Amino acid sequence: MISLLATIIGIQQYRESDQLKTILPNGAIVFCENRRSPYISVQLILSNRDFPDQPNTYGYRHLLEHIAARSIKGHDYDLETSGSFLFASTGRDWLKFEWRIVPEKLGLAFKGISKLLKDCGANEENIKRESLAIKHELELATSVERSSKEAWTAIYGESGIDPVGTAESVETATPADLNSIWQRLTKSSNVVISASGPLDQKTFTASAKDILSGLVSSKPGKIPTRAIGGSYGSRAIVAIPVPPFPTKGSINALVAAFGLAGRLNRPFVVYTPSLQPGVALIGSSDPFQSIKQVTDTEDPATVFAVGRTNATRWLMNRSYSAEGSAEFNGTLLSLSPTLRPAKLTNEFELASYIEFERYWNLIREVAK
Amino acid sequence: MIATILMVLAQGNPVPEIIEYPNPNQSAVAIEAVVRLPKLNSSQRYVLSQAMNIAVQMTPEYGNRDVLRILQTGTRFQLYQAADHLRIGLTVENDDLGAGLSLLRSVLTEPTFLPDTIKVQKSNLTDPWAKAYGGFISHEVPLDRNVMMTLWQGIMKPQNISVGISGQFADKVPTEKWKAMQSSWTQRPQSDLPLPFPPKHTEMPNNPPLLIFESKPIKMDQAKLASYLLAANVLGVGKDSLQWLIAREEMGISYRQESFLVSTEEGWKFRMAYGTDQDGTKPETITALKQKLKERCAALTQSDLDHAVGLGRGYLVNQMPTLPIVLGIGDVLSNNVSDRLYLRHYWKTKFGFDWSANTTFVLMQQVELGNLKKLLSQILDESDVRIY
Repeated sequence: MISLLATIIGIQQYRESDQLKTILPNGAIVFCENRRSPYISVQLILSNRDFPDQPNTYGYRHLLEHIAARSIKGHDYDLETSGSFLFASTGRDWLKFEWRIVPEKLGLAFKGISKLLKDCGANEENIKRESLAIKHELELATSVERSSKEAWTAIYGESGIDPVGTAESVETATPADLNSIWQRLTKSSNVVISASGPLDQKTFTASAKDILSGLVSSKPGKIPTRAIGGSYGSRAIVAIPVPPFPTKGSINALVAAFGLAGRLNRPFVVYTPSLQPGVALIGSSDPFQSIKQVTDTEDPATVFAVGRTNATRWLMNRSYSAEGSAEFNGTLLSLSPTLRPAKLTNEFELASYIEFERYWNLIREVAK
Repeated sequence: MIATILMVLAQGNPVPEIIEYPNPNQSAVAIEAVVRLPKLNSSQRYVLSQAMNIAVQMTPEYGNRDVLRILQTGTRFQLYQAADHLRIGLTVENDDLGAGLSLLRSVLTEPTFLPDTIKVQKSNLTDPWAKAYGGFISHEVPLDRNVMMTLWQGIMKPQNISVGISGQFADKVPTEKWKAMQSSWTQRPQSDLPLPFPPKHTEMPNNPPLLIFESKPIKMDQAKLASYLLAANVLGVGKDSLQWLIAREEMGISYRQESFLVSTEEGWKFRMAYGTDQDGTKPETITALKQKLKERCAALTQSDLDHAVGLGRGYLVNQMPTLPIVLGIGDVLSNNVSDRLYLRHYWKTKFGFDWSANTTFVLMQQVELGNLKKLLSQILDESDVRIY
């Protein structure tokens, strides 16, 4: 069934034998996958799933991302000269650094990871410079990004705090604050190295283990939860709460989200899997699209069918590229060592219409 | 008069050209119409952008559900308005090649623009960076069905349209199917486009401000393409580009700054763009920024040239998503068959030479440091400064 679906939607399947997952004795995880690609995507994922951002650390991990990504002198220059690139991003549950690197320079990625894990580079000068950059970054936020922030706050209140912060909040960070968060982020049970591309799994894993085995040992804490306190909808965007992934509730909510997207012109869905309750944001970039018009006229049975197909496609597309596969596998493993995309492929086929309808009705209620 | 009509009948109605790009390895058929645009004012631009979105929803021949059925599952029409052309693209299953061409023909020749579809409520999605990538100005005006229809018909003339098609098909099959639809392309009387004068409109300043250095139009050939891309790499691609180092890290006036090639109403141009703040738009700041850029460009070394070539290797060979060309697509080396065909077809019809990442990279490697410095100096000296 999986391979048939993959053939239909033109996505290359990877065999389990091409993948290797290793859980180190200290709890750190290495995942790697051998596949055809001009580059290897090596991702260092630092999870904060059991210590979410608080009002007094608002935006600090985002600031850390900025500072850490530039902390190794000459690293970007060396990477870029080889036709490679370093990316970094901050999610609610993790910080991610990605080396998209040509195979012959893989050592540069390990060198970068090793240095980063030892020192994030936080000092007064870097905090000042990057706080200013974040101020400018926030001013460039798109309306979708602003809506996402509003939706999270509307649905979860203070516990829906965004990871980005404000110009004012990041300015309050001190080197001690950032180093303290960094130490927690780099404890072994919070660290995943995930990679996909033309690599030898055993050699890659051995190199990653060398770096990760020296981390301070730790065990993951209890996952906090969020209480739903509202809903969100505007003319062009609606948002629904999504239960922890991959529970049945989350699957049915995503079928509703992707079903709506399938009936919109120029649609987008913003969703990141999490063990905590999350948000799916669905909208249209078509300035003439009225979501309410669609929800008022569409047959839910059609939306359900479209939603199952598109949600499955979303899942498969996450593994379409080396960077997508490294990210999806890595971020799922950073949530739980047993979460793997391959185990989820059939979930959307097994979605429940009755449960789906509950989320579809919620969308209908919030659409304006 | 009679002689003219007889001549048209004798020749048959002209149909837009179609170019086949057979690809036996492609699992679906991509179809891309590139529509050359005449000079349009800002009101016409606005109406056209709305017309394009509405036209693909349904036609008299194909209802909304027919459109969704013909398009490959999960895909939509790919629409983009650039300064010099419209992109109207679709992907269909192999068996739907004829239906796909017929749907495209119907969209181009007989849109409905039903009042109900025109009157639906608008969204307010915004992106403060959008003007940096924009190649034309668009001003909102009230929408009128007749104006929309006249504008559409005035632009969708066979001589303005070139269709590209790629996928698994026998030689000439798409061409024959396309030509068999010629009766749709009836001769229309020559008339002026509606809305000749845009209403008076006060341009609101961008928030945050954008600072843009814009070159004169570039007469593009393959060697120039490689040189300008290399110049973009030096100035505004990657985290060790001069714009990043100077504007972001030294002067603290910008988080996002890029250099790229973009189509404008005057032609393709080279832009250096900065998302900045009020301080970044002060004349003395701009002078200082330009001076620092000039000094650093003059001091470039062979190592910096290698770095710039490496960035080119990244997006031309290694599929990094950093290509400094604004064309409404994400990654030109991606496996998205629709985007690949669009780039290939637009490039060929626009510049008369094939888009080739490999050739561009080879030429990029041949650029000498001295010539690169000359080009950078020319870009910095001759660019107009604009603040939005």
